[in-house]
Amino acid sequence: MRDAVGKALVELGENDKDMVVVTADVARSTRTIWFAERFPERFVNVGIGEQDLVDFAAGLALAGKRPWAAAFAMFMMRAWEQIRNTIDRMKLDVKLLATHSGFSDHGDGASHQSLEDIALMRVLHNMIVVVPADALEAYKAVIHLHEQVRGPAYLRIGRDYSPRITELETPFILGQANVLEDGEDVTLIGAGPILYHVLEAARILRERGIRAAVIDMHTIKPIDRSTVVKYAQKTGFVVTVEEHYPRGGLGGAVAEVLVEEYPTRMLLIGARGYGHSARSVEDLYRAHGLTAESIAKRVEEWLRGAKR
Amino acid sequence: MRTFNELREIAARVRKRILRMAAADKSVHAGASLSVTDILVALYFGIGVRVDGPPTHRDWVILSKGHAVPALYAILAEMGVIDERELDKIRSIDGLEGHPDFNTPGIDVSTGSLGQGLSIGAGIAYAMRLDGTEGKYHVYVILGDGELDEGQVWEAATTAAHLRLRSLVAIVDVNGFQLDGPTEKVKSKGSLAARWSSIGWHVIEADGHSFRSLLSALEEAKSYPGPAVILAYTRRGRGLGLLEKTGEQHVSPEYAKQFVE
Repeated sequence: MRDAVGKALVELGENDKDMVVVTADVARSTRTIWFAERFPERFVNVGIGEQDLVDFAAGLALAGKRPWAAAFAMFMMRAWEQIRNTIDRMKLDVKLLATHSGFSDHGDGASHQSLEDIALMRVLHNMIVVVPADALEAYKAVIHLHEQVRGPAYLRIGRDYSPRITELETPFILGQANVLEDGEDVTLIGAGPILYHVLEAARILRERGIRAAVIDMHTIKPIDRSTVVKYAQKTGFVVTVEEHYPRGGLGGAVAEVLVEEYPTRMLLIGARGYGHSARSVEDLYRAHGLTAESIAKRVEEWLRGAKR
Repeated sequence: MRTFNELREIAARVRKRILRMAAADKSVHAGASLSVTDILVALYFGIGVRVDGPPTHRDWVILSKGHAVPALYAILAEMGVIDERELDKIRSIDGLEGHPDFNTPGIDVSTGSLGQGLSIGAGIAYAMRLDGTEGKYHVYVILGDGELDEGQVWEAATTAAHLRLRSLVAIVDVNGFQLDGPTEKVKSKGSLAARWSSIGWHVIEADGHSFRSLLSALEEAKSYPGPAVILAYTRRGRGLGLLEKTGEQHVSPEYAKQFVE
């Protein structure tokens, strides 16, 4: 995912002389180094200082530039208050690129695995929050956000793990969910690479006679209210799956829509606790019940119980 | 070019307005506003900041010690940018914000949360470099000495020094106080001059209540080919005997009323 984003930034940089990329000592890890090599004057590394990173980017935006600030999601959260009081409050045109989110940084362990950032970002009044499903979608999201959004946005990506979920022709329209599969018995809504396993879970459920709709809710905010309500009305049961705690993230965002417009039974699936070091992302999915088998089993039991 | 006497007269009017605002609302930070008054008068009326124009073709003033905004409002009223009557509505729901809001005419950046202004200023200064106006225009960031407790200030300072941002000028209102009391009692600051200079800033010490000293410091800071900091030694509450004596931040509206016609 990070490679796709790194490439997108360079392409944007070719056409927009006002674009500036800033990072907090993670140019190599975030692949913003490619932008740095191509446009050295329009790249700044502020060293290990995420609060400075965010406000430096704010200054650039105030001065008419179009900055992208890149850091690991976990450590960008250290600058939550700066994001809130400077970027969001003044509605500045700063794009926050948060990498290594969820369990994607499997090696580094719990300290680095951000399971709270969607909640923290979506509560901000003016912030747009996007969680692309795969590398292809991430690339499109970067381009779209830079070209169409003149305000604050938070783009949450993983690291390397990004199995193909979308197609080249899949459109990326901010605020418009992608229905990956249709179904009548239950709606599975996900965001990010975990969707690959949600699709696989839907396949397992179909073998057991449960037809699940699968939705890629790449834009957590502004959320696609009409698609959420439409599928709640169609299926009567909604499940959310995310690489994040089942509190305040995608699940919370969907619940807020339904509780106001069409109260529906919901199951919120997410991380079970803090992460841990692992040799692969799949090991962490297994530990947190986020594998296809685990998701399918949980959904099936839940439906059985809910329909009694 | 105004004379020192003219600047002193302007400062006296600014202080009067601050007391007028203190009379309107007891939560106004009178002490901090009075200590920074002469610094702001020196900036706006002494060297004369050019705050109109495209973003990188103008000067910027960032009041990072945002709670001293009454002083800035008083300056803006002096300039006719905001109406005098607005001052009486400070901190009211339909009036001037208690901390800088960039939607208010004459306010460049919204602040209030300490420690952020220098980073923001560095970003603006860097944009000037990109647009070829570095050194021609400056970004003045005013900080409090208590504010230097915030780690982010040092994140910004080292970034600015590393990038050798010559358009960035920091001015510290060293009044020796913070919320919980004298700065040295709350947390020793060590040697401020040594801190700044060791990371690569040009340090200028000035008397924060002498226009001769302030203007000379500002000229030196502007022409230095790198980031410069002015440590301006001031007195909290300067101009109001009671506050100068007690070092308090606030004054009761009843007391403040006496000094306003």
